[in-house]
Amino acid sequence: MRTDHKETSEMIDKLMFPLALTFALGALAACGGEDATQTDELATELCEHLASGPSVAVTSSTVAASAPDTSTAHTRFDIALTPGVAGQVSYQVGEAGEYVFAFDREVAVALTDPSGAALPAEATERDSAACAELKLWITYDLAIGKHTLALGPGQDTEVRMVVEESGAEHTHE
Amino acid sequence: MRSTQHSRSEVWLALLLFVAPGCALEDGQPWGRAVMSLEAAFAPAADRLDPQGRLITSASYAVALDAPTVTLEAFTLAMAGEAGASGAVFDPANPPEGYSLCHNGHCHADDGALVAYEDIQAELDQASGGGGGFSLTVGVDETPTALTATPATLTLEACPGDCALPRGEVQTVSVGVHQLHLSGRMYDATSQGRLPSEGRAFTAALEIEQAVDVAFSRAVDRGEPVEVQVAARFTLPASLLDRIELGELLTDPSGAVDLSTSTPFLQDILQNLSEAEALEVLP
Repeated sequence: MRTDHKETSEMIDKLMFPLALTFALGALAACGGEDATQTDELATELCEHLASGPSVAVTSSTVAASAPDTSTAHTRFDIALTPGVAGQVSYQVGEAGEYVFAFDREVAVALTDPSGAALPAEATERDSAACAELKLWITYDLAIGKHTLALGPGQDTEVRMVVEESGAEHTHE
Repeated sequence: MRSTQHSRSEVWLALLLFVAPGCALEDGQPWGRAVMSLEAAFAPAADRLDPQGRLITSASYAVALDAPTVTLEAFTLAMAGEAGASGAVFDPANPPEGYSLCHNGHCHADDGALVAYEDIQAELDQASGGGGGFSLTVGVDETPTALTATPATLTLEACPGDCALPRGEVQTVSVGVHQLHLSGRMYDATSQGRLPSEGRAFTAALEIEQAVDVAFSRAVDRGEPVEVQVAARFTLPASLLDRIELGELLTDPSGAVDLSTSTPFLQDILQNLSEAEALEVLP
């Protein structure tokens, strides 16, 4: 009788293990799928604003204190640059988190926090399959406060930039 | 057999006892009655404060705020529904002209007809144009309230119409922000020298005159509890001073700064207030 019970238990174990494994892998795949969907949605969002705006034209500054603000969400900033000079713009963060800075061309980007310390990028990606406009997008983990982006130096006279909070729900008002 | 009848009657009695407390149509009772309370606080999250406990703004100013004070007004429940659309609320205890003896969901009309409460409410709506929504507004004591992390309970004035609500659905809760008084000392949290290193004292007595609201869904209907509990909390948003270039508002390079009459400052405050979720209904 004990033997029968043991055999039954082993049989259940044998049956349950692949089932549990399948479930676990399925769950993992679902999580991965969600991440991929979020990434796709973010790329679509960035593409939409890079291609269609709304847009605001600003002129970059050589001085951080007078760098124009580019904090408006869901907006493309057409930033005028001086060839050979790093142009600066500012970005204000009201909610700490990950932010993606997207550009329509290759450009050197250096971001500093409110104290002037350089911040490393969390991730850098290039040439999105989502659209031709999305050439470069860089993810930073930002705290609350005013940050400064130095763009260039390069030969371009303009770069287009869109910034979105990564992973946040995107709502258009 | 007797046993079966007994248990059936017990079931009916139990059902009656179960349903009765939830029925909104007792004699002389309105469809609903609001039970309202209001509190206010200022409780910035930890990542909004620097090690000295100063509020960090998105523009990287560090602001050592004295307890802000606020004066609230017009605590309002806004409803939508077929009843009360005109703002005139049918009260069975005080029926409109032409009706009397209101009980059990209907009134006796002067011509002898029995007319349902909802039909009388519809008549009231039609008589005064209808089409709008009903709102119940309670006044708030105008004594300025000092805001701290511990919510302060505000004193409400007497509720008009004994807080009676018509049949329908409460959809929005709002409160008017009448005045806001800020004072403290602001510092530049960057190395850009936008303010003197010792900071700058400031004060601002602002006429806000702006309502903040929050969606709140609660049916007032047959089968719903008569009492509609609405405990709301106004929280002065930590983002109140975001995007404001405080250094640029200084016209007098020395002494305390009075921002009470600064239109750009007020506009930025209004904008930040409207974008924040400053009002919530507590569970």
